[in-house]
Amino acid sequence: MAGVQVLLEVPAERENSLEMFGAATTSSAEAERQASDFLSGIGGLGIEFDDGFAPVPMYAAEDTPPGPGEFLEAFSPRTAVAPPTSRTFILPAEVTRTRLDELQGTADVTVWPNSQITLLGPMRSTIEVADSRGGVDCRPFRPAVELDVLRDLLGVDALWNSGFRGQNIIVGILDEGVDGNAYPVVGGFARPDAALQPGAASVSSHGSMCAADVMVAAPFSRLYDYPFLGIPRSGGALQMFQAVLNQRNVDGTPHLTNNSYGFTGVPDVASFPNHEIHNPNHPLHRKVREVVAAGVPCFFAAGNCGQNCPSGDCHPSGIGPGISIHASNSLAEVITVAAVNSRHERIGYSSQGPGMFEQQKPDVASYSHFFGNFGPGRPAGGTTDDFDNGTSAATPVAAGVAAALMSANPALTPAQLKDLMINTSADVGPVVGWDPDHGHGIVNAAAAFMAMNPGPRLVS
Amino acid sequence: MKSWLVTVDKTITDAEAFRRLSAAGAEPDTDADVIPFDDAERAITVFATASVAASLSDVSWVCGVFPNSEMQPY
Repeated sequence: MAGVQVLLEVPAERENSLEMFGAATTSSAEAERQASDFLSGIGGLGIEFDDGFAPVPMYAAEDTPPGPGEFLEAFSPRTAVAPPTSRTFILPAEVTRTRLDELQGTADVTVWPNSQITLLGPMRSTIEVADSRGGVDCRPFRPAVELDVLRDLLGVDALWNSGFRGQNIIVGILDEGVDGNAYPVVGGFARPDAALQPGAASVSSHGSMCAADVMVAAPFSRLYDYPFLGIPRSGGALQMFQAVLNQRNVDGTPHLTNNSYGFTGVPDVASFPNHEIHNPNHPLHRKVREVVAAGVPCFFAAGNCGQNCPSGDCHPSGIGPGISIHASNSLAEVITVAAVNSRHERIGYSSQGPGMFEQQKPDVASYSHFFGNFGPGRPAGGTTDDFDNGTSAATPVAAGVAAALMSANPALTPAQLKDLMINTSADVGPVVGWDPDHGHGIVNAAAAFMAMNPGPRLVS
Repeated sequence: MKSWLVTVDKTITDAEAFRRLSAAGAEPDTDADVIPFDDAERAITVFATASVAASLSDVSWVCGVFPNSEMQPY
């Protein structure tokens, strides 16, 4: 079952909770029986319990932590005071997305995140603790951070220490061109007579920023440059996706693509029913589907037309929830990326779901506002006021995580990669699971790598 | 004139498609490659007025006429 890992909290007053927990830890049948009993009122369809789980009793009320010494006697082996009666029990489970929506509306069940925990090694940086419920970063934006902060937040060391830094993986950058002197461009496509050839763009180009941001998590990956935004039309992107297919047919590369572009307004559907935003069968979208079906994961930026502080490029028709993620960027087959800052706050311009084709968009969030291509000491230079930004920057960071994961497992299909990144993302936002601001959560390389390569259990 | 993507039946050669499109008042973009699709179609980029594009939609060997809209880096 491809579902969401959660903790279900159900009311259950039991005087013998310690005995119940002991019995459940020694007998999976007893654990299942207890769980069935707890869920008898709501039904267990679409809920699958973890292997070796045991329902955990909770004694204190959610918003009332036990006072000092209150539980000391009750849990002491040398007193005659009985342990307190449980108030609720917690059940770790995987639930289908349909069931998750239903459970969150059920009065007797509280649904909590059950996020993957990573063993922390030495950190490069001091990370400012974020509010896990998420906030909004809007003008004036919080200061940008150094690359090391992002690398710590992403947990890239889990991959890097095992030798996976994106080597043997080629990322296609479909954009306005990459500087091949600053970044490892090893191929790409442009018509022989095109003004801009692969690797020939300036270091301050938008494509060079995307290249820099792939390198955050996958510094050993290499790049194909598909400079089409010199002709910024869907037909240009169509040409480049066909070039991806042609190259793929020759040698199996590129392994994935990054797409940090899209539309900034929504034309009236009655007047423009065939517009890229309204017609899912536009040739560009069909070609993108072909590319994904050929085994090439495609990362697309959500867009910069979120309601809080939209980009100045956005037309009012395309600002805010439900109308700012569209065209190929909202296809079910692609991985759509929203933007958060290093405090896990949604950046206020990050476009918001639901998507106009696939409703559950964005898929994940990733980090933006950092010194990658731009900033002091970076390839394109600048002051602390200059930094990589937009969902344009967040998307190649996520693509770089994918490149590092694919260097560990080149056989990952686009669907497997998408599931892996979604299921191991760190849930933030006001609700458990997907939300229109952050998708399923923030990408995490360490959690994804651990899920891909489960190591020995600490306790058997 | 605006830019459009016209998908045509794969059984017609590129040269013949270009000739027919020109005859219908659409100017094929020679800087853009013809893009094949698995499902027996190819996409050709053309320049045409909105009225010519609309009239192409009714032609039997044309599968579809789509806008070739401008995009922005995010």
